[in-house]
Amino acid sequence: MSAFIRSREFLLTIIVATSFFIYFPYFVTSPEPLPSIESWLVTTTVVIVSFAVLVSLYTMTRREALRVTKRGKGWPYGLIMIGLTWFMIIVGVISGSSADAFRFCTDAFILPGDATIYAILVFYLTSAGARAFKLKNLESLVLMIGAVTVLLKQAPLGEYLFPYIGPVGSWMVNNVGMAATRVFAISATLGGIVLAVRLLTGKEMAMVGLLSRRKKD
Amino acid sequence: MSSIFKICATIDRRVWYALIFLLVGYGLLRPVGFPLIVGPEVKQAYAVIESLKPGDVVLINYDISAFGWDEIKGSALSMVPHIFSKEGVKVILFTDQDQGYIYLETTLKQIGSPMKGYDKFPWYEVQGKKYLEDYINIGFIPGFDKAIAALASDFRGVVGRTDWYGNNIEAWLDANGIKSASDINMIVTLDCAGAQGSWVNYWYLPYKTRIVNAMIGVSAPASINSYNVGMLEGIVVSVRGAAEYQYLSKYYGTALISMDAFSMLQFMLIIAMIIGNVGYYFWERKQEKVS
Repeated sequence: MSAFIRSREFLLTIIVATSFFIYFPYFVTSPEPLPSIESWLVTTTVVIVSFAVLVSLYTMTRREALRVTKRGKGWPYGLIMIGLTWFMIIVGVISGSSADAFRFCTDAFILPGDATIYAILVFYLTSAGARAFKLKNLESLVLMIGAVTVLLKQAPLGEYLFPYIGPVGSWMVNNVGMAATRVFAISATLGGIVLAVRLLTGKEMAMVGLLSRRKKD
Repeated sequence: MSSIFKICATIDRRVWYALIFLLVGYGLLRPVGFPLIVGPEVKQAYAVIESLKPGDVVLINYDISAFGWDEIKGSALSMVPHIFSKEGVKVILFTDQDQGYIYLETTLKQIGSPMKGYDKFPWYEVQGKKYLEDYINIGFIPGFDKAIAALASDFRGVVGRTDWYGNNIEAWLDANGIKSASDINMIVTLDCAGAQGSWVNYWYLPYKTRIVNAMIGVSAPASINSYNVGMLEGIVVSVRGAAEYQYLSKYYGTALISMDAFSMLQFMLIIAMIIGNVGYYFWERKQEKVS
């Protein structure tokens, strides 16, 4: 039974069937029970995601515990990570997510740390402005003109002192920037479609963990 | 003279860090009040929310985590009270981030006050709207895009019978005629992780639900893309957009105050680029040629 569930054919059948029930009613107006099955499958993913949190907790604890016991590189951080994770879980389960103790831990440790890491970017950005934006060739000149124009447009004072910069900056964002963004978006979407086709034709079984298991076997 | 160019080329990065610290600190503590021009995107976002009619149902999504709160809070603290101020409009609060409920409650705490006879969440009154009468909080649903898709597919099934705090909300949903996603008139999504793409895919495309989006700077290109093709009705980009919205809606706050520091910082970035290039051309490049 276990071998059957792990077999390529069984997993592929599930992938094809699930894809059919989700894709078909999305693109084509379908009679019942297809929309209901689609709705049930989509709703089920939310439940699966909730369980996936438990899986990630298990794998994180296992990985860090191994690192600590083997005294791997940076093992003290692993110890802190396990300690804080389980401390938050225990406090949260015992007192509830709205309790003062849980909120204190969140407000005192998680939020300032998270926000600080993001805010540090501004320091790096300015230092990089002085070091990286060097006019070495035509391409770097174009990059710099674009950067300065958008910076002046974004700064309220820049837009006020140089009124013509606003429309120029907006044009750059809405045309030049958009062209690049759309290329990226369309490329990513095409990549997603190719991946889906490869998955449906059984050429991308690594996604369901089959390839790594086979290598291990 | 060459020693000046050498200094320009080799300024210690800690000097830049100290200058940023001083400029931002000064700008925040002593705002000068530089003029602010409101852009067409923010005017449009404001007009869309202003157009809400009694009986409309708005779902506000908190796609907010700690890292982005300081950037998005200006939008949250001006757009949310603006929505709550619209008479007869019903509001559903939701978050697709595990930390989102913290910011959701922080917002309500700052713009509202506990209802008479209550002292804690969810019993808060905001702009005259009372909990379980005019608004509800369905809280966090895990899965991010999967949660947004599931809400579109089976709204009542995913929301369930109770709110984030365990109160029964079935009567409230029935009374406001909310049976499925098509009964929601507008989505306002405050994004730190770019949730607008999922709202567009699963709500705008099948139901043509109106979407207004405020986001942090890194999510802006994708949002501007969706806005330019008409899938988002209004966008509020980063702190600058939030400041413009605060100015328009008259819910003044930190975003508006921080605009002076923002201007100073942007100009400092440009000055840093100029100094770096002066040093590069008149000293560093010569050194490269010599070696």
